[in-house]
Amino acid sequence: MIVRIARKEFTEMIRDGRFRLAGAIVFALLVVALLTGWKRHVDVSRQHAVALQTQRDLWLSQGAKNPHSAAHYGYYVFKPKLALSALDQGLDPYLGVSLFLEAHKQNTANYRPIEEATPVQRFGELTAAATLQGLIPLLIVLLAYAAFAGEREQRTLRQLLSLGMDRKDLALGKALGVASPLLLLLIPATAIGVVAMALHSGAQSITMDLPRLAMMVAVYIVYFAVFIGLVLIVSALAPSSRTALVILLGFWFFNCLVAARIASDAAKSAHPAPSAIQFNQGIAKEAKGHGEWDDQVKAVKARLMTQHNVTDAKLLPVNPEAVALDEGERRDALIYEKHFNRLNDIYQSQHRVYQSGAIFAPMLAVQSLSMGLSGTDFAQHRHFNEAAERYRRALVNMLNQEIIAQGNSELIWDFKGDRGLWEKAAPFSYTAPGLGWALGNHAPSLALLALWLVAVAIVTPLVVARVKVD
Amino acid sequence: MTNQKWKMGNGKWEMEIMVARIIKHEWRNLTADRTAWVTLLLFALVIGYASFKGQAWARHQEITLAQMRQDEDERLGAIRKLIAEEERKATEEGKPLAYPTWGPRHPAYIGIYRGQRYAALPPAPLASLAVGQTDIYPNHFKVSAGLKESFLIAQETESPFKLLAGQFDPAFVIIYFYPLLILALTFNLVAAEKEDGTLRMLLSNRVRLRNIVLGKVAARALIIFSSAIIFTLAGFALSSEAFEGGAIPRLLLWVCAVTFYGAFWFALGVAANAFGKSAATNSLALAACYLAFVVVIPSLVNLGATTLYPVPSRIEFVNAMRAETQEANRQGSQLLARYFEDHPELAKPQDTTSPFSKTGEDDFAMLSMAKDELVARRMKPLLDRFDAQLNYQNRLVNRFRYLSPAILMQSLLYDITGAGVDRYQYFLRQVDEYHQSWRRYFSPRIFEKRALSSGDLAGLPLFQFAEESGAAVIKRVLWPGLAMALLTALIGYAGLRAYRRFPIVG
Repeated sequence: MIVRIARKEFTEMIRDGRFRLAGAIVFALLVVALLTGWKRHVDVSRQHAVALQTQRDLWLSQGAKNPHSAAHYGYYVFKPKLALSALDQGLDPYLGVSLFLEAHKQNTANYRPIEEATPVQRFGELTAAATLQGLIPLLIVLLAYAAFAGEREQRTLRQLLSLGMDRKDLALGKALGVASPLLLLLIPATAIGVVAMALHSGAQSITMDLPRLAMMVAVYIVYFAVFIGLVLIVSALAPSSRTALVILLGFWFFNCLVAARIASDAAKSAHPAPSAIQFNQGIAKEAKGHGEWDDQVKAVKARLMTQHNVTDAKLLPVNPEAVALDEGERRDALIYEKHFNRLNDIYQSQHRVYQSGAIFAPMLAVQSLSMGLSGTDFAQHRHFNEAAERYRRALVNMLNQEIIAQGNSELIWDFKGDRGLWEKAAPFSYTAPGLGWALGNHAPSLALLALWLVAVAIVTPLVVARVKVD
Repeated sequence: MTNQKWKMGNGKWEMEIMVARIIKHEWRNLTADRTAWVTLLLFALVIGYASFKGQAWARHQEITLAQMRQDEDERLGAIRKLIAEEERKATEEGKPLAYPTWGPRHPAYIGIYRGQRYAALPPAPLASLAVGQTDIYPNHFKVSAGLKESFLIAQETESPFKLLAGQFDPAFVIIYFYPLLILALTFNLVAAEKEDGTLRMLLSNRVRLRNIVLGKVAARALIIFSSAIIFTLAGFALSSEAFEGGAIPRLLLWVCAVTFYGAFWFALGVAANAFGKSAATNSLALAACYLAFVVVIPSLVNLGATTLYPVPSRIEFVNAMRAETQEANRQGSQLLARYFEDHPELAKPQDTTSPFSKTGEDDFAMLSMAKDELVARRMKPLLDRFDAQLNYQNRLVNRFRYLSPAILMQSLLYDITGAGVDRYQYFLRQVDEYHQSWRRYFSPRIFEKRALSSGDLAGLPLFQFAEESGAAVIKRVLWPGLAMALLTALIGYAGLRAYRRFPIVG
């Protein structure tokens, strides 16, 4: 019986020209989004590979210079993108893509893509994620808003129920009837996505990306199921199909266009971040607390002299300036670490508040999970930045050790390192963490989405069981 | 008197009275409806919240600028104190101050490293009405005599989650929410009368269907337009601490834009009703239009712009810049020689006994100035390419914005409030000039080895933002404004004409 109802619904929808048109448009948008997303990913990956090599070459061929000059010359690293970022750009347009690693300071990532876009981008980018989060739910609303209200208006609901049919079966059949045309649209789109991914990235990265992709598919299926349930609930409760449509369109508008704005406002007021000036001042003040360079050297010299029990600085085994340089570097790195951790913690707390908005709008949970799985969320950005910072410290410390190793010589600043020294620094490489880590960052979203599913699964049969016949 | 004329059968007069009666009747109907009041209240609340958020952002900008001014005052004050101290010591000891190798009196210390001044963009004239692009671009730069790219880098000014979600400002409410309200009031404009069977009765009077429609729309428009305008203006007046007279012309433009945009959606609602379909069908059709204009077309236009004119990769840009810097470093002494060829006025060493004076190659400040100029010159073609691609993108968007009233409205509101790209570009050009003047101030001092005195610090070049002229703004908004009016007129006219063939029965 369930299958028969589903088949009837399915046939009805497929034959309706309006739905065919809407379905075709959504499908076309989804495919365009997938293809352009994939192309962008291929371009960026290629640039990335080239840039990584160029930076390495520049570093090795910088010529003979003092190791400290080399540390100032520094190293650029670029944030890599996972293959799934082709589906969901997430926060990437709003976060910098390149990071300059240099002596004495930790920088923030620069060049946010949004700065090089036209204002029309503020309406939202056409990505697979945007289509799945916004347009498919709308399609579900259009497909199913009249499921019960319409039958009631046409007086067919009474007829149907007089046949002694189980109302739960009716609900399930209707749900499947809505789901099947969607699958007709989503399965080919997913196939296109997987094939594109397989063509571009080799077998090696597929093993890494497939679990993420599978999880993403699951998340979206749950999201659509929640929406189907919601639409059926409203359709069963609403006095007329027109009212059902108005309510559902209102909810769609809130879910897709309003909720994120309010949630991010709440997140910002709950956890305000310092302005860029304040942030920099905080670091500068703390770093300054350790006095001017000359005083620092003096202090180190005095300490070393007592340590080595000598009365003349010339008898020390090391140059105090080199030691002061090394110690200052390590000390400042901790100051930066503290401030960056504080800032990043603020952003992650904002993200927690933002996610909790999913209590009212399931889209927020899906958005979070989707960008987490695509590796375009804040946690991924932070993970990369921290890996780059560890690399910076290892690099600078290695160079400083080289200066210390020159012993107590007046000429430590004239000492010049060569290619052999530059090669001592291993090339920068970065691997993104796995699926478990990515999901862990979005646990609240996962929980809330599951909650929505459970709630809808419980409420839908209850409401349908009590659906008014007239 | 009126009655007499009515009897005289003056057709036109009669019509006008009829339309006025319909408006009055509709007005009574609407105001008696509780849902209408609830909706209006919701609208007021939403605009109130948006005004509050818009004002919070404007205040955030003010606070940033205050922090910036404080930072500048403190830094320059400290430097001045250090210099004054040195000067005092020198007079006490009776020795003239020599050109320092480094320290507060060194022109590079002030001009490049410690004494930079800020170039700041004050909040837009109608800042609390639209955040626009101001949450993306920094409103201040710490201008140094070094390479422009070194200070033109934006630091995060807004939470990435906020940027992803979008702002809830009055511009958002007007672009997204206001059309929905209008569509909710018009989707069953005639369809409901038809479905209720009252349309036939109405038309049995001496009145044309077109006039009924006009009357109904006029009553609704009166309510919606006046509330949209009153709510946003009240929000602005309440949230702006200092109301400036200069804001009035811009506010007038805001009122016009809000009216035109609303009129467009009313015209669309009128046209949708002209086909005589059911209210449900109308609502689906109008929802589809809304989705197309507000969501789909903008994202397609954006996709077209970024695909046809992709901005060169920043990754490649960073690499190129790096390679140029390395090349410049390698050139060393030749670099200065070439620099002096370009700037013969600077190639006059003051102190011929100094070992640096002939080539300057051991003076890092001179080298750095020369290097920056070389790198800037070499990088210019690539930077120009960025600007050119972005310009092409903007031009494409400007051309295709006529496809969607929402894009049109966005560009209108951004321009009117001053939160858009054009005012920002105007600011960037001034920053560029200021950077030039800052370099002009310091570069002779570096090359002629002239130290700065404590008195010099008060006379450092100062950035003063000159606001865009009103004429420039009007010129920019004229075409899109006219286009929107024309679009509205066309759709409204076609819609009204279509009522001639309205299927009143069946």
